[in-house]
Amino acid sequence: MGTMAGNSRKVRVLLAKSDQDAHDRGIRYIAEVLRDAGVEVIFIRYRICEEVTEIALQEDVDVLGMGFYSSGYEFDIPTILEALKAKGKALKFMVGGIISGDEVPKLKAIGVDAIFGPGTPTEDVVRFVAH
Amino acid sequence: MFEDAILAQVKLMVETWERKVAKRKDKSKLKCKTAGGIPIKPFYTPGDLAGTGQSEVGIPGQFPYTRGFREVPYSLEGWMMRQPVALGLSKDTRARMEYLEKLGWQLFIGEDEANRLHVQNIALDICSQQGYDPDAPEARGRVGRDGTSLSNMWDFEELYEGKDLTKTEVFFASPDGQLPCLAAYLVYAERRGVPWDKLRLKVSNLWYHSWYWDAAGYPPKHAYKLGPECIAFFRKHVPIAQVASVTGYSPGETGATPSQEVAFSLATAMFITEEAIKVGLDPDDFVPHFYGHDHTSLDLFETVAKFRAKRRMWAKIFRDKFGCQNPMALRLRNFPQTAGSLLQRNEPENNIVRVTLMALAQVLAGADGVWAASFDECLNIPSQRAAQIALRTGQIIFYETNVANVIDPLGGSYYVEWLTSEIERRAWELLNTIEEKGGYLNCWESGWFRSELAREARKWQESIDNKERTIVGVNDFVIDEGEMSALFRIRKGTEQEAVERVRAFRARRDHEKVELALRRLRAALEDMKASWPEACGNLMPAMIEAFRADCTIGETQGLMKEVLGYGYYGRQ
Repeated sequence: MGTMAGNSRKVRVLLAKSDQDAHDRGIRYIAEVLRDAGVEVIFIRYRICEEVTEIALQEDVDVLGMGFYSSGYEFDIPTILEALKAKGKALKFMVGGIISGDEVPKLKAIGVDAIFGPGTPTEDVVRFVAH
Repeated sequence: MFEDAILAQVKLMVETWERKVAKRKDKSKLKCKTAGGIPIKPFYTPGDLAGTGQSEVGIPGQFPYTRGFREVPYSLEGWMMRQPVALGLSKDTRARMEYLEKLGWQLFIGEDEANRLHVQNIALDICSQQGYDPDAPEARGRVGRDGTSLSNMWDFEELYEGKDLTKTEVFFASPDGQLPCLAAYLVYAERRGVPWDKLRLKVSNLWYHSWYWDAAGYPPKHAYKLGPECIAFFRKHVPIAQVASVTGYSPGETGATPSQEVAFSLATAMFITEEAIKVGLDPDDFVPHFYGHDHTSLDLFETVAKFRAKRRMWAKIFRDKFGCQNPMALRLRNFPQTAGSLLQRNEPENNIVRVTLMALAQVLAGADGVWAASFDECLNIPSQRAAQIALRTGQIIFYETNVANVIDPLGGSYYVEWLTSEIERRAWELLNTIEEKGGYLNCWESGWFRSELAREARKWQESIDNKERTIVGVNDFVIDEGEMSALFRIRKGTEQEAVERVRAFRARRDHEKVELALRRLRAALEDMKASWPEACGNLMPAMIEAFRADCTIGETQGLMKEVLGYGYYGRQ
């Protein structure tokens, strides 16, 4: 999956929060840990869906990670996935934050690969991104 | 604080203890740290208080207020219960609040019926906070979800109709949207015929608040002007209003150690004071109307020591640095909040225990208010049951434990007094560092505050990841309960209702009046941007005119973001 171009290239991950969100403590920690694990991290703070999609394309990332503290992910995630699909961009999509358990099957069905809720060991995220 | 003879005697006792434990194989485990990383000993003695004179401790109700501002215990005057109630539309919020009032919620716990005051601590949903009305594309999927949807005068009417505004303390949690919310409320009161000088308002004035998580609507170079603007207006027109929150909660949630929290929040207070003096305001007049909103951690004694240290430093700063003569200026009323970041999703009911311990810490620390969070906040905004338990937490502590009978019960504890002085010492050092780094605003613009906090946040999470710190049910004693689903959701159709309502509201307005008011508001904002401090005093009246013309939160805050801020997607 993704656009891994040979062994020499580092895994590229784009990390973003929704424009309508708050509290970046978690995603900043993930950004640092992934960077230390040898991942190329592009962290773009709070963005609207169109920006996230465009940057994912421009930066040709292998993984997209988004954190949601507040609601609205049920709308943002499909919007971004559909836009990426329309451009023929394949990537691994991980989501963190306050995601209700009953939304998990729905998100997985539309193409979210991993959901890391509060309390997830950070090594699970590193393993998902790096392998 | 103690005579030499006593100190010598204690020293001998401590030496005996040292000899005894020296034989223990596990003695390295005696070296512990507080949650904030301060190294601590297994016990404390008078010998640890050499640097803490009796005048530093004092008695309750007297300078330097280490032991609090109260002359009588909580059992006589109660404490405030200030957690927010906010969900869905105004009517949902109101119904929840009225349910909780039936269970005995009032502003002051323990007050008799005759003096009863209501509290309306309204957290806005994320789109309202960011200045998007419910029908803006950005609001999709978010209306009423993380708080109350508040966009137009009908929402305010529904929240407050029939309520005695002179007996209701009102607060709007919307840091970047504070001016529009307050202006709307003032216009609502005016239409009800309630004079502004009778209104009980808590003005948050948190123009710097969202910088802590890097999501602010306005950059430092303009945002700080909103502080004096608010203070000047509310001191003049709403004399019993509190005019500025000095938050330690936000740095705390971002990762601050207790000494960082104390230093950063005091630096904020000093900066706001200096800026307000520059526009001609008198600190003896406005500083008594500041209030604190501090962070409460599960390290109970450290939390108590932190609140005590901050009170003492506040008293010294406003007496010595600003020369305040008004004794009320030397007292920072504090309305702390139990830490959201310390609540866990795994086995969420365990959070009831965590919140209880934090609420108890607030009481033992002599806070003016207790904010007990709902245990399910890591899953959703509070369910009714969880909000009820949070209310009950405060009531049980007040009525069933007897802690309300004695002021500052931990005062004089060798450990707590030592830790109070230690946090104070570290916080003074940090205040000096802030000065050396070019002062408060510069520490935001350079990113210094944020990088210091991010470092501490990282240390904290690493200590959980490497199991140096145990979080029960999270990184140890873990059980698999499967995915946790939200325990509460707002009514279906809430968003559609809000969309239709704001559209209907706009349709019946006098559009010329709206356009004119928005033009004037834009001019006032441009003026604030271009000529400060001369323009101080122009913005708030223009904002009030906008709500007299029935503008919406989205329209007014959108303009603020467009002119003073980083831009506003809703207007492109």
